[in-house]
Amino acid sequence: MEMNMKESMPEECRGVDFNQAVDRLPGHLGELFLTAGEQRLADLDKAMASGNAPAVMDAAHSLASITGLLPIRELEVYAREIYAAGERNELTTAKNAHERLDIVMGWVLARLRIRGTAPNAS
Amino acid sequence: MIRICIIDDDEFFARLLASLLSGPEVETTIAGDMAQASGLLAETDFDVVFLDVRLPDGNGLDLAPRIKEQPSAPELIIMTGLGDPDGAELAIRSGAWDYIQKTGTPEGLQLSFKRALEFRRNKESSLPVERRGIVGQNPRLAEVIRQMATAARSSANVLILGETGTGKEGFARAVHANSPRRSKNYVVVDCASLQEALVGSDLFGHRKGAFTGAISDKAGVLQRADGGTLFLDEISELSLELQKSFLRLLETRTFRPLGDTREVRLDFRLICASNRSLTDMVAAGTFREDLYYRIRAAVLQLPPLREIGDDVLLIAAHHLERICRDSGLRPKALSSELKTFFLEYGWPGNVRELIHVLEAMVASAPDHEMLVPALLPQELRIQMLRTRVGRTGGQDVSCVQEQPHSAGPLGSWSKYKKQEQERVELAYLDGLIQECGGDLKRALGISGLSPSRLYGLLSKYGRTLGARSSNRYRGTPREEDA
Repeated sequence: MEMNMKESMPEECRGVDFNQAVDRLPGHLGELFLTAGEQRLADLDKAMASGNAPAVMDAAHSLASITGLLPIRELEVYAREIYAAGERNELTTAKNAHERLDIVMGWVLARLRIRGTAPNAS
Repeated sequence: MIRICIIDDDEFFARLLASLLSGPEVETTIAGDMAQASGLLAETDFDVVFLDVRLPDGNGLDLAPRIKEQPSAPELIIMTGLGDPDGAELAIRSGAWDYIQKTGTPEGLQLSFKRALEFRRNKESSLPVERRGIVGQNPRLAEVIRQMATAARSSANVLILGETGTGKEGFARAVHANSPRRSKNYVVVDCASLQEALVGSDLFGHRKGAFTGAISDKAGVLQRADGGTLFLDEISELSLELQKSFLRLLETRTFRPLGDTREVRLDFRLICASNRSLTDMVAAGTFREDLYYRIRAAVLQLPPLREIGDDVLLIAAHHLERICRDSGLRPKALSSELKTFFLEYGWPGNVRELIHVLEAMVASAPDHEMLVPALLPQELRIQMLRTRVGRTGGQDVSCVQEQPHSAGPLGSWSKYKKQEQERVELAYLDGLIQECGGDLKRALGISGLSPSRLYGLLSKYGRTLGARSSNRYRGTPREEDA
């Protein structure tokens, strides 16, 4: 199924082959990937909102470990920026990175939810 | 079996990694924290350990020395994430084989694992292996020997499986001989001959006065294995009661001699062997599942003799040389026809049967320089004859059953029966002539026919014991014994 999300596609995702990304993901871990991604994103949002630097570092670290599956290099860059801000206890400097990561990751997870995480599900 | 331990509290990543590394010969265990990892490292020897730096109960790197000290000396791969110092530096400082970034691609994770395995295989193949009389070059056997050598260097419990006579005890001795415990005792307990009533005292020992007749303290068999290796042969024969006792011994490494109030601690490496399927026994409830999992940290599945091709001849030559040497006889060779039979025979009793056959042949012909089929034990000669009948007669009985009217339209039963009987008689006769080498006495001995019946058959088909009529011989000429 082709999603009607082209208009809102973040620029970081342009040209990304999501089929390839899904093919890399072992089938039985598809749902876990989506759940883990959504949970970690929610944890990061919560930690940022409450200004809890150690929790921000934890959430950024966790999020980064699943970005390797997604061929979007910027995700790791944003996660690193957020982590470093948490380490310095200067969370406000990571506001932009957090916003972009939220948008890109949120969009990817939503897209994969619709597409399905089984290979060739589209 | 390649054993991998993934130490990471990130459930998704650990499961992802386990999936990426999975394969038929790969067993992966995941530990979510340092405490859990410590427990796993204490009871299992791993080939590769993936270690995350950030763990909920401490710095994963603190586990590195302990991992490297495992008897199996696993390859350590450090997993770094955000905020960790430079991975390469971490890897070098902690004696790791490699490091991976958790933000890396799945292909990168797999590549690191493959390289570590390759490195490990090269390392292992360069280590000398004490074969202890295990002979053979077949790839299946070579793989089991490699697994044996790997298991030997660890402290893992080893389970040796294989048909009867495949050399399980030989492999058990080889495990001991290649282990760091080689200078200590190697103690064998034949579980099939254990008598329930005597087990307590014999295995665990007793204190003076523990029972009537216990006039002094006596150490049990198990105590002799302290520091060394305990081999439980035919473990499938242990009663459920004894399985329980051994399970406790394995779990606590302690036991209490009869009449003693104190526990005795034992340090031993356990090797078990079975020719029965323990998984089937577990399913049937005749073997404890918990004990089964305890004893199978490393599993060696020995191939039967019939499945290792030309190695049969290597093994035969090795044992023939040994038998002659032990008997003070000059070395002997195997005739080409005997070699052919050795390669064709199914060897249901495996190496043990082969050794018995060779011993019997050497005993019956101590002065011969060459062993020929005529020296085979009677039941094997019959077997050889049957094989030959199948070949020289063009068809054997089973073929007749499968193709009842292959020669054309089916006629009357009596005519068909007569034709088939004559064909089988002729095939047998040709085989017999070849086997007995013109010796009437041997021909009568092998066939069990009376002289008159044998001569009647020879006459009927125009055969003599000395030679076949070339125009009626339908078999393939065979190389004769030298």
